Amino acid sequence: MNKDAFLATLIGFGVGLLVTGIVLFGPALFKNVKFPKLPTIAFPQLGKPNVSPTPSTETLKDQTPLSHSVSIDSPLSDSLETNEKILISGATSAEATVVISSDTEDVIVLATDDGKYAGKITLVEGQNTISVTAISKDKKESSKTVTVYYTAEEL
Amino acid sequence: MAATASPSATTAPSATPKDQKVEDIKDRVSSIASKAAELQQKQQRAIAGTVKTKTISTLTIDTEKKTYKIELMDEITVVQMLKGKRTELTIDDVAKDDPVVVFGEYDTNLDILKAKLIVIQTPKTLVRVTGKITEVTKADYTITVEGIDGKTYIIDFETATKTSLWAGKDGVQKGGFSKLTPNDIIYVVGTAVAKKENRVSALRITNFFDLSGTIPKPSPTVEATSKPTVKPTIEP
Repeated sequence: MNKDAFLATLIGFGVGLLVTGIVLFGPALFKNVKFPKLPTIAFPQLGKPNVSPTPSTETLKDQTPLSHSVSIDSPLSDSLETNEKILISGATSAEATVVISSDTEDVIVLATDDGKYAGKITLVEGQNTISVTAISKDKKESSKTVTVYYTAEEL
Repeated sequence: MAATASPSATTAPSATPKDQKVEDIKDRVSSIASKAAELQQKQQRAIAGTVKTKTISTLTIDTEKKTYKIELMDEITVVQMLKGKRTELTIDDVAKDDPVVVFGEYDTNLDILKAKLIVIQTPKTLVRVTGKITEVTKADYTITVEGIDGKTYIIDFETATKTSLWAGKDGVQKGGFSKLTPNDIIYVVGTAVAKKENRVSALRITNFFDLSGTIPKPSPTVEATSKPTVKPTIEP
């Protein structure tokens, strides 16, 4: 048998075997292969109106307004103060009426449009428990307290 | 014989200004770190609680969270507000079960507070109520309030109760019992009346009216004047 003819037959057999293998086992093999996702580019189509996607229920839940609450940003709890008058500040609902109340006095301030509030209160020597109550425009209440210690003595 | 040239002294590589700067920065960083560690170990602090035990040089204070060991420093100051005046006392005046606030330097390593000031202070238990007035009873000076929390409170208006009227940006004005009317929103600070649930003896009342920040003007009262009816007299 001619040497070239034998080689051609062998190559042909090998190629046939490979094609058969791909046809039979190819789909199963490619299932497990993860291809990188290519970015999709959307081209505007003339004459078609832009349709915004409908938000999912999860997104709608996130967008519902938060319930009325109040927070005290300053001073920190259990802090040691050396000034008799200190500034109490924090955040609440927009334009809420805020009562900053100590054992001896009440200070009333209005929260700003972005819900920030601040008011000065006088401390007594020793422990001071300060209560902050915010009443929203729709007459809902939220309160928080902070404890601070004050002395004018040099420690 | 020719004199051999003495080998020139090898000079040590001199420190460049850049190296010097790096050294300076390293020194500063280490000094800041040691200072921070020192501060972390000893911090000024205050604790409030009741005296559990007392010796000549120590106290133990029970707080809500834990029991603290207190070391009494030589130059300790003890004060108490008596009849509205700050009165200086001595450490002998501090007794077991006294409510105190201790100021000093807290050593985190030894878990001990080195006391420099003790304030004998009874904590006030105040009640705060926000709500709408539903009834004002002039006969016994009480106000019924429907709290925002859903509870109904009876507020005792005392002779010492301070009343304020919220006028928005104009601040607060003085008021009285007569300025409290049904549907007004009020904020009450007071003390709980013993053995009576949801009853508060008021120390301070702030009237917000309808929360608009304006004090409503009193409506003019029309007094009915009785005019004598003129009877026609018949003259003979």
